[in-house]
This record gives sequence, C-alpha cells and structure tokens, in this order.
Amino acid sequence: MCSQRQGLRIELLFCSFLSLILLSPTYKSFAQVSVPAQQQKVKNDQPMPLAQVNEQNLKTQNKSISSPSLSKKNTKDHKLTITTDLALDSTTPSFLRKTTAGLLALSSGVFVAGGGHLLLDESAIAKQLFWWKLGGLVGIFTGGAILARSGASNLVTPWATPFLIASGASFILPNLLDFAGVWLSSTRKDTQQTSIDPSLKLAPLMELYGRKNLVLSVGTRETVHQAPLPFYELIWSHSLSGFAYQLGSSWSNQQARFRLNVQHPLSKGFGWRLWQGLGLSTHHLRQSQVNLYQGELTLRLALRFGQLIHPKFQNFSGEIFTGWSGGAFVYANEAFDQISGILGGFSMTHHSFNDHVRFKLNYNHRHDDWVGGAIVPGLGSGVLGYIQSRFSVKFTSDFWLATQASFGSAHLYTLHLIWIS
Amino acid sequence: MHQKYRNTKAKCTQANHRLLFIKLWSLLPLIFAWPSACLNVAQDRTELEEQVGHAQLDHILVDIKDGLASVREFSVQTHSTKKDLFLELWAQAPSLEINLDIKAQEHTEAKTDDVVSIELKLYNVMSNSQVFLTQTSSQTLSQTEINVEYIAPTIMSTQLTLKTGTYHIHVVPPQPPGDQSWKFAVFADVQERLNGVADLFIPLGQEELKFALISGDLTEQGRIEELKQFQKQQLTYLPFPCYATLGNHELGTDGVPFYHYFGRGSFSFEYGEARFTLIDGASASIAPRTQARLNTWLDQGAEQLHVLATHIPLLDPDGTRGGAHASRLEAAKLLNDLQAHHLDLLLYGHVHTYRYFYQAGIPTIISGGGGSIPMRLDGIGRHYVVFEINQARDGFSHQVQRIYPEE
Repeated sequence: MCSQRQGLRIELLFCSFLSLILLSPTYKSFAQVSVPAQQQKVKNDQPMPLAQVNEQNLKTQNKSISSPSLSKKNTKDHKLTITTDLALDSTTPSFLRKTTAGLLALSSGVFVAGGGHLLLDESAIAKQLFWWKLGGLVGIFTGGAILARSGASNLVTPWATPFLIASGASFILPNLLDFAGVWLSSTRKDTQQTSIDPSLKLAPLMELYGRKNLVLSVGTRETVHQAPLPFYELIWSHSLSGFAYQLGSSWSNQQARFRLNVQHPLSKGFGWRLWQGLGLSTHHLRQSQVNLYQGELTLRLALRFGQLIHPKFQNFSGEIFTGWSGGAFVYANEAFDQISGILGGFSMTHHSFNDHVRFKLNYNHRHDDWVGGAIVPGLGSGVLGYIQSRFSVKFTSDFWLATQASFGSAHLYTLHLIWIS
Repeated sequence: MHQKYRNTKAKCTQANHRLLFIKLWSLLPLIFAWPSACLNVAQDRTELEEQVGHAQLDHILVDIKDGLASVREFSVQTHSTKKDLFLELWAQAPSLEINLDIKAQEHTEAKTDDVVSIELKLYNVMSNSQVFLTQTSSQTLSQTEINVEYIAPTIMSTQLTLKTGTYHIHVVPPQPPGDQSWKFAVFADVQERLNGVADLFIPLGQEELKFALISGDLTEQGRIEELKQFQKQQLTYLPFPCYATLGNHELGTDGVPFYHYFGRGSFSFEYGEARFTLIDGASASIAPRTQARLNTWLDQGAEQLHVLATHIPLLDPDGTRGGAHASRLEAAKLLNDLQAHHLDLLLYGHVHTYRYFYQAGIPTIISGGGGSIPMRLDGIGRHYVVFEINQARDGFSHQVQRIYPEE
C-alpha cells in the first residue's frame, strides 16, 4: 500500500502526463475525428471568406457582449479555428467527447484550467479559465513563498493568508467551471432556456433564498472523540433596503452558539458585487464551562459567472470571501486567552430546474465553529479549513428543503427546512 | 404528430442530460470529502504506537513497561559455534523496566539451550545509570546489580546469561540531589537543517543538563536515513539523552519509522520529583487513545511539578497564522482540562520562533528554533531553551540560548 504522499505524487504524475498528452497538438486530430461527418463536410467544403465567417459566427453564437470569443481579436486569426467553432455551435458534441473533455478539465487541474473547453474548441472560454487559473497559481506560489520566507511571521500572515485563500479560489473554481461547462451547450437557445442568473442584490447571508428566511435545522455532529450527537439550529435572516441581518442559534447538549451578522453592499460591477459584513458570536461549551466571545469583519465578493465568463454559466453563482476575527476564550478558572483568526473561503452553486434545485460546494477556512479545520492524512499542520456541500430543493414558493454535509475535524450532516418570504 | 413526438423526445433527452449532470455533480462532494473524511488519522497511528516496546524471538518475549523504549533489534548473532541473542533498545525515559520472559523450548534435543546469552545494548540512557536484574520465580525473588559498560556517555552495553524464567531489568538513573536545582532543555524543528544540527548540539552539549526534550519535527520527512543521521549526531555531540515526540514532518514517510528509531510519540515519565509528559499532536488533534492516557498522566502529575510537551500548539497566540489544532473549541476544552489538573508548563514547537505567554493561566513556551526556516522580524533566530527546576521542585526559571552565527 502506498502512503498518502506517494499517492499524491502518482496522482500528480498521472495528471501531468494526461495533461501533456491531451494538450499536445494530437488533440486536434482527436477533435477532428470526433466531429460528425456532416460537420467535417461543412468545415472542408465551405471555405468562406473571413468576413462571412465572422458574420455567420455572430449569428450562431450567443450575442452577449461579455464573451471575448466574439471580439475581433479572437475571430480574425485563424480560419480553421473559426470554422470549427461554427460547426460545434450548430450541433452538440458527442457524449464521448464531452466525457473526455470533462476528464481533461479535472485531470489538468493541477496546473491549468480550460483544457476541457479547448478540447471542445471553445477556445475563448478556455482562455478565460486558463488565465484565471494562472492568476490563482501565481498567487499561491507568491503568497506561499512570502509566507514561507517570512517563517510565517505574525506580521505577514494577516495579509498573506487572505491572499492565499483568494488565490486558492482562483486555483480551484476555474477547473470546476471547466468541468461543468463541457456539459453545457454554448448556443444561445439552450442558455436562454435554462437561464437563472440569480440576483446580486440579495446579501450573501440570505443564501439566495428570499428577502426573509427562517431556517429550522436538525443534524448530527461527530468528532473523533464523540459519537454522532444531535444538534439543532434556528436562523432568522432579513434583507432590508441595502443591508441584511441574521440572527442564529445552534445548540446540542454539549455546546451552544449564538450569532448576529450584518451585511452591507460596498461596491458592484458587471457580474460581481462586494459586501462587507460584521458579526458577533458567542460559543459555550457546557461540560468544560469554556466560552468563546468573538467579533468578525468580512468581505464577500458575490460572483455571477454567466456575466463574468460566458452566458452558458448563467446557472452558476459563486463567492469568494475573506475576513478577520478577534475575541477571547474564557475558561472555567476565569483565565482568558485573546485569540485572532483569519476567515475566508469560496463557494460555487449550481442552479438547475429553473432554480428549483441547487447544489453548492463550499470551502471555509474557519477553525472555531462546530466543524473546525480538516484533519488530512499526511498534512498535519491543521492549516486547512473544512469543506461543505449543500443540496437544496424548492418544494413550494414558500418552502425549501436542504441537506448539508460538512467535513472538518468534525463531520456534520444537517437537514434544513427553510421558509421564505 | 411526428413533430410532437420529436419535441417530447427532445425534452426527455434534455431532461436525461440534466439528470446525468446532477448525478455527476453529486459525485463531486465524494471526491472532495475523501481526503478529509478520515477523522481517525491520529487514532490509527496510535495502533502502530502501541506496538512499540514489544518483541518476540522464538521462545523469548521482550516487553518494556509502558513502551518507554523502542526495540530496534532483537536477533540471533552467531559467534563461531555459539549463538547469542542481541537486544538493542532506544530509551525514551530515564527509568526503564525491561521484562524478559524466557520460556522452555519444546525441543529437548538441545538442553544447552536452556541457558540463553543475551547482549543488551541500550541507547539514549543517562550516564551512570545503574542496572538491576530481578528474577521472579514461584518461590524466590532475587535482585542483582549488573555490570555495564558505557561505550559512549549515553550508550551502555552488557552481557546477560539467563536461564528459563521471567526477568525484570531495571535501569535506574542517578537522581539530582534533593537540595539542588537541576536543568533540562527543550528544542524543536530541526527539519532541513539536519546537516547543520551540530551548530545546535555543540553549545547544547556544553550545558549541564540531565536531558533534553524535543517537541517534534526532528527531520524534514521522517525518513529512516534522516532519523539515523539525527541520532548519530545526537550520540556524537550530546552527553545526555533526548526524549522526543514526533511532529508533522515525521509523518511524511509511510509507516512512521519514528516509532522504530525513537519510540512512542506519547509517553510520560518521572525524574527529579517532576513529571514530564510528551504528547503526539502532530495531526493537529489528539487521538482518543492518547487522550485516555493523557488523563491518567494528568491525574498522576496533579500533585507534582508537571511539564507537558507537544508539537503543534493547542492555540496559536497569533491566530492569523493558524499554526494550531484543527478545532479551536476542542483545543480550548483540552486547555481547560490541563489547567484543572494544575499543569505547570506547556511546551510547543511547530512555530519557528520563541514565545513565552500564558494559556488558560498555564505558563507556555513556543520554541521552534532548531534550524528550520526561522521566523523573520522577530529577533530570535535559532535557539534552544534551558529550564532550571528549583530546589523545592515547585517552580522553574528558563533562559533562551541563541545560536550563533545566525542565518
């Protein structure tokens, strides 16, 4: 049996080789083989003048001005590439080709993103994902190098860690979009049919459910020291003009938590909106009589990938957030320790069935809540936060039902009933 | 009609694609959950740890009480026509109790085998330790002192000739005089500076210490050759033993060879009217088995000076760095337990600097200046810390010794 580290090396080697093979010029021949014969004929038998091709391309492609694939710069270069785009836009790639593209999107994720779309000849999207990923990669190396060179100095970590989290988001999200995007058609007809484009005006703490939310939750919490134990949660969120507030309470027979969060928009642009947040929380551990009192400041960037990258991603929303927390642990003997922490993370949500079904993946860097940071074999430092997946279904116009799994130093499985207004 | 059928079929196909899409999406959390799904990382390791200190060769059983030494070799060595057994141990505490159970062989053809000759070689022991052999039989209990030879200040060797029976070998270290203070040291995080660890060991070896504690990260990846190199340099430069727990860097090699070369990561011993406990916190958490043993040691040390060393800080005083346990709430709970048991000193490594502060009211020191990339802008650099326990055995003072030349 190989160790985690050896496994990781093998995985890295595998991904690198696969990336090299699939990104090498041979993919072109593969793409050509997998294009149906009729399209091959279109490609070979219709050597249209460049201007005509551009016009045709504009007719078949989505007209959204946000897509760089429509810019002159991208369309005037190669007749062959444009003709292939035309062929692919008019039909759906085969399942085999999509699967291959999906595998490429995931496997090349160690270093690059956009491989999946490149294989489907959607080079404009591939480029955007590639550059986004590259930015994340550079950020990780730069932030990591600064952090390592400083020996994790306490003067550097408050700034380098949020930078690393944002870079981590830029490292992972492009590959998720690359993987998801290969299954989506880029033609206008399909994107219009499934267009969701959730509002950017709703504060992130509302979870896009509505302007008033009441969440009743029940779940189990398991740690290495504790068998699964039930816990309960009650959260009220309310969006007022411009800002939103949230009151939440969670409790089990071992601990209880109360929190108040407020979010307010700071700035906005095309496909993004920046929110600032303030929070206060208390956490009480019943058995040991330890209390945590904490305040926090967060910045959340809400993202709409349909506007930022391509209309085909209108069913995807995302978030990148970071923040700082400070407070104190108060022990049973009344001694106390001042504590501080970095908050942060990123998430991506897929909205489907006309936004009646949602799936959300979330990385959270918090180490002080009910979940705690991940304990990863072979990585002992406790630096990583936890991951969370959430599946929501809209039952009626007033009610949602959601299931959530959180994996950190505790495993939580939660069922939420959400009333919205 | 055909058109309607085509439309229906197209809708079905589209719905199927969507369902497939959802299915694919739902697989993603499994992929992501897999690496973090294992809560029992540290707990699984304790199963390996509990094998430390036990060995068997044919009809002879070796068992070290509380696993306080690692059996590095237990083999048959042939000298001309004579067969000798060779037992090599690495001690993790000043006092040891080695139990030998020599059972009668079932083969009657070689009666001379009833007498067993064992060469015992003990590494990492205190100089001038005495060794006593106690034989337990059904009627008598005899104890004799064994003559030992010191090959180096911390390596002793002796030859034992034993018959069938049960034996206890006690290694008893010289205790500090009751009217005098005594010293020990702590260091951690040598890591990639293993080749330059002599810079640390030479001044450390000149201190008048009884022993040194190492709170983890002795090596970069915990490989066998790294561990051997560390021990070779330790035996060369230090005239006193070192007792080490493992850090996250020792987990970089499959099977955790640390256990074979050094011993357990979680153990406790008494010396000089004080208790010293080292805990394996290398996975940013404490395993339940370790926690159970820790509770016992906390009870045992409640009425005496008690020092606890572990690698990763329970809570990092600079929380933005996050060099601490994975769950702050569980760490705070453990700190609460430690102060309730009147722990006197907490020692951490992992963070490459020196900090003296209080956690839950317990004096706490971070010392990670063994040689790895030092923290910049803190004015500390490479260092080790020397502690002096007072005559009354109820308090201590400490001094940071910086190592020159600096980086």
